[in-house]
Amino acid sequence: MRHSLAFTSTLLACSLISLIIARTSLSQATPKYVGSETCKGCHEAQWTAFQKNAHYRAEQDPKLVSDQAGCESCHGPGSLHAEAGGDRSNPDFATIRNFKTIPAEKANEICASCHSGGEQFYWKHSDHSRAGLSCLQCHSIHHRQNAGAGPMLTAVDVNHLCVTCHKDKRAAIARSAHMPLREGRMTCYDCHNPHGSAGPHQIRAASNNELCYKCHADKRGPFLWEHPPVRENCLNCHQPHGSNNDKALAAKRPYLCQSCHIGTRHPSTLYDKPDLVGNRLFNRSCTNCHSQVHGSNHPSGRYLER
Amino acid sequence: MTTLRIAVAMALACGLVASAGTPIARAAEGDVTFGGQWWTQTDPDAKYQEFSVVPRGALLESFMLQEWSGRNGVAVWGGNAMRADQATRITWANGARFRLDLGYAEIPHLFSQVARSPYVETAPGWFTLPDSLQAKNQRTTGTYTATMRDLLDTAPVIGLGFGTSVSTARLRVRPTHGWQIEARGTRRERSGVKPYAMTFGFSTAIEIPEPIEQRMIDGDVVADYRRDRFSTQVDVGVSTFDNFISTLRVDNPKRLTDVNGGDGPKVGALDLYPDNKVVRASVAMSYLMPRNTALTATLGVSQGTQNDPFLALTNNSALPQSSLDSLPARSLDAKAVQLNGDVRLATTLAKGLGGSLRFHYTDYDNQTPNLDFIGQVPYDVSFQRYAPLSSEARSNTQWQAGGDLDYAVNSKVSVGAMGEYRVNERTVREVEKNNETVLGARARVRPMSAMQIEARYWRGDRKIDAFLDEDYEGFKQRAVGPTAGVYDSLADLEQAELRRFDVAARIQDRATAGVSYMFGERLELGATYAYLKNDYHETTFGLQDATAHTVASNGAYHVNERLDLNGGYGYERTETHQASRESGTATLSINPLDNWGAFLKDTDVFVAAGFDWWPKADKISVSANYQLSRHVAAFDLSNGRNTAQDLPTNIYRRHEAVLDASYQWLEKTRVSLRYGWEEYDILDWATNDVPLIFPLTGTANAVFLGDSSEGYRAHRVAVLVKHQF
Repeated sequence: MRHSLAFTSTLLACSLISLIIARTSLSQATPKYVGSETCKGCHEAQWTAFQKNAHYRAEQDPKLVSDQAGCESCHGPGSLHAEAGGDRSNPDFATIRNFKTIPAEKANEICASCHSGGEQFYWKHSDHSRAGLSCLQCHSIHHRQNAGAGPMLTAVDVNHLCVTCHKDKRAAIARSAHMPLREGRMTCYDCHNPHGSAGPHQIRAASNNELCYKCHADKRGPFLWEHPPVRENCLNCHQPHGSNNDKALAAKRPYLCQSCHIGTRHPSTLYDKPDLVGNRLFNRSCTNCHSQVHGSNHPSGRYLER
Repeated sequence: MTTLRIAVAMALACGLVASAGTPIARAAEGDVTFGGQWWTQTDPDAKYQEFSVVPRGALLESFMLQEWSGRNGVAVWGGNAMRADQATRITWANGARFRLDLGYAEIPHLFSQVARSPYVETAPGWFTLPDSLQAKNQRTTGTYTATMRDLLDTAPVIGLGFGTSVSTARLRVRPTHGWQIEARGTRRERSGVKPYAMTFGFSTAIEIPEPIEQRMIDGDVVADYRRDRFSTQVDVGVSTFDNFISTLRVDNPKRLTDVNGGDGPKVGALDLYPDNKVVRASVAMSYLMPRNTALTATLGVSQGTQNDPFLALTNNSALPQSSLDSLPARSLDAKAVQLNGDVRLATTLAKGLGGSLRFHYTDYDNQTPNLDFIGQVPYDVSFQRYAPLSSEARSNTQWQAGGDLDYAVNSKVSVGAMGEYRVNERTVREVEKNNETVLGARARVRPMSAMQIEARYWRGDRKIDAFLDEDYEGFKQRAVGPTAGVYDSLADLEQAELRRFDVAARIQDRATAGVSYMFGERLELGATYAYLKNDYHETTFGLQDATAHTVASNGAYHVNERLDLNGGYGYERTETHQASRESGTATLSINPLDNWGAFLKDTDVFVAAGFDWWPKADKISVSANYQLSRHVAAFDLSNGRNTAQDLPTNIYRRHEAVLDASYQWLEKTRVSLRYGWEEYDILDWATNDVPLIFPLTGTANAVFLGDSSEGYRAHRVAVLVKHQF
C-alpha cells in the first residue's frame, strides 16, 4: 500500500512535471522561416503576382535586403502559420504578420526597415506619419492599381490617390487656370513628397520659391529691379492648385495689383462700367504695360515695363 | 520630327534593354491600346484643352511592357505616342542594387488659336512692321487709327502656345547594406510663343507673340547612408537656365525714325529673362532614440548667379543715353546666397502622448551690388533724370519655430495642440519685419471603427514691427532741373494709408472639419469643410479682408459585384473687400470723396459623378463619368461720390461627360467604344472679344493680339482596341 502510494505520487509528480515541460516547450515554440515555396502552396495568386513585383527582384539580393528573402521578409517566419493549415482558430495561424490587422505604426516600421533613406528620409516627421497613416493606405504590394514600374499604388495614379483625402484639391485642379495635373502631365508628387520633407507642406524644396523655380527657372533672377513680393513668395499672387483667374492668379487683375498699388494717373476708376473700354481693366490689365512683373534686368525697367 | 526621333530612340532603347537580359526563366507581359478618334469642336480656341493635344485619326493611347528574369526587370510604358503630349518611361532594375529610370515627356501649353498679329519675326526676337507703314504713320499721325485698322484686318492668324519637352534620367545604386547613391537629372526644353506686351508710352501697349527658346537643366547626386540608429543624406546639385532669345525688339508702328520725346523710337527693346545658374548642397542627419524619438537636422546652402549683359538705357538713338557708356556697369554680376536650416524632433513623452518640436529657417541673401543709374528711359521715348536712381538688392529671411502635442485619450479619441512663432524679415521695404504667433488645436474621434471625425482650428496674429516711410515704395523724388519729371512737387507716390497684404498686420482664422465613414465594404463617404479668414485690421487702403468657405465631399457605393457608383461635390465661396483712392492726375488725391471700394464675390461649384457597370462579368463593361466646374465672380463696386456701377458678372463653366463601353472580343483583346462631350462657356469682360486695336472709340493707342477667351462645345467618338500579350 505504501509502495503503491509512493508509486502513485511519483507518477503524478512526473506527469505534472511532464505537463509543465510540455506547456513550457509549447509556449516557447518559435516560428521558423520556411521559404516562399511553402507560401505558394496556399497563396498561389499572391505568389504569382509577387514574381512581377520589384520587391521580388530586390529579395534576390539577400546581402542587401535580408537573410530571409521572399514573403517572410515582410510577413515574418511562417512555419507555425503553415502548420496551422488554414485553421483560423489555431493560435499559430496568427503568428505571421497580417498587415490588415497590425497597427499602422507597426506596419510602417516593417516598411521602414528597408525604406528609410531617399524619399522616406523625413517620414518620422511627416504630416502623414503624425496623422497615423499606414504605408498601405497608399501602397499595395500585391494588388497595385497603377500600371508601369512606379510606386505600387492603391489608385490608378498619384493624383487620384491624393484627392481621395484632399478632396478640395480635386475641385481646385478642375478650375479654368490650372497646372497640367488634370491632364496627367504633372502629379502632386512632382511638388510634394507625401513621405515628408524639410520644407513647408511637405514640398520638395526648402521654400515655395525654390520649388517653383524648378520648372520656372526663368523667374529666378536675381534681377536688377525686383518686385519684392515675388522674391519672397510666389504664393502671394498665385494659387498653385488652380484658380479661375488667368495665370492661376489669386485674384483677378487689376484687383490683385490694386491690393498693393494705388498710383497716381492710373486712375483706379474700376467702378465706372461705361468707361470699361477706356480704363485699365481690359485684356491683361496692368500687365498690358508692366509685363516684366517678375522682375526686370533692363536698366530702364524700374517700373517693370522694359 | 524631334518627337518622332525621340519616340523611335526610346523604342529602340527599350528593345535593346529588354533583349540584354539573361535568357533564363524569362517572363513578360504587356498591353497596348490603340485605335482612332473622330472629334468635332465648335470653336478652335481651346482654353480648357491647354495642356493636351486633341487627337484626331489614328492614335496610340497607351502601351506597357514588363519583362523580368531573375533579378533583372525591365519595364517600358507610356501614352500618346508620337503626339505633342506624349510620355514614355523606361525602367531597368537589377535586384535591389541598380535601378535606372529614363523618361521623356512633352507638355503642351496652348493659349489661343485665334490671335492675330501683323508683326513678322525677321530674326529671333526681332518683330518688324513694313517700313512703309511706319513712315506713313509718322508722316500723317491723324490717320494712325484707320491705317492700323486696315493693317490688322488682314493680319494673319497665329497660334499662341509653347511646348516643354522634359527628359529625365535617374540612376540609383545600393552598393552595400546601408548605402544608397542616386544621380538624377532633368532637362527641360521650352519652345514656342506666348503673348507679351511692349509699350511706347503711357497706355500704348503693343502685344506681340514673345518667342520662347529656353533650356533648364537640373542635376543632383544624393547619397544616403544608414547605420543602426543613424542616417545621413547628402545632396549636391546644379541648376541652369539658358534663354536663347534674351532681347525682344519690336517696331514702333508710329515711327520710322528715332525721335527724342513724342512717339519715341523706331524700335523698342525689352530685356527678356536673363540666364542664371544655381549650385547647391545640403546635408541632413537623423538619429533615432528610445521612446520612438527621432531627431533630424538639415542644412542647405545654394548660390545663384546671373550676369547677362545689360541693354542700354534706351534703344532710341536720338537720346545720348542709348550709349552703353551711360550705364554704371555692363552687367549686373548678381549673386544671391540662400541658407536653409531645418531641425525636427519627434518623440513619445508618455503612453499616448506624442510631441514634436520644429525649427525652419531660410535666408535669401541677395549680394548683388546696388548700381546708381543717372535715370531711366521708361518707354524708349524720353530720358527722366534722377539723382540718382539706385537699384536695390532685396534680401529676406523667414523662420518658424513651433511645437505640436498629440494625446490619445483612448483608442477612439485623440486631441492635439500646436503653437508656432513665425518671423519674416526683409530689406528695403516699408515693413521690414513681421512676427506672427499661431496657436491651434485639433480633435479626432473615431466613434466606430469605420468612422472618423476630425476638426482643427488655428488662429494667427501677424504684427508689423515698424512702418518705415523712408522705404515706402514710391517715396522717391526726382532731381529738379531741365529734365525734371512730373512728380517733383510730391514726395509720396503711394497713398500713406496703403498697407500691402503680404506684409500688413493680419488676424488669420482657419478651421477645418472632416468626416469619413465606411459602411462595411460597400459604402464609403467623406466630407470636409474649411474656413479661412484673413482680416487686415490695420489696413485703410489695400486688401482689407478675405473670407473663404470650402465644402468638399465624395462617395463611392459598391452596389454589387457588377455595379460601382461614385460621386463628388465641392463648393467654395470667397469674399474680399478692398479699398482704394482715385488720383486722376499726377497729384495724389487726399479727398475722401475719391475713395472707392470693391467687394468681390467668387463662387465655385464642382460636381463629379460616375459609374462602372459590368453587365456581363469579364465580357462587357460600361463606365461613365461626368464633371461640372462652375465659377461665378461678382464685382460689387462703390465710391465716395456714389457714381459707381458694378462690373458685369464673370462666369466660367465647363461640363464634361465620357461614356466608355468595352467588349472582351478575344481572350486577350478588348474593344472599346468611347463617346465624349464637353462644353465650355466663358463670360469675362476682360478677355471676351478682345479687339486688335484699342480703345474702340477715339484715337487708338494699343495693339492687341485679340486672343479672346471663347467657349466651345466638342463631341468625340473613339474606337479603341486593347490587346494584352
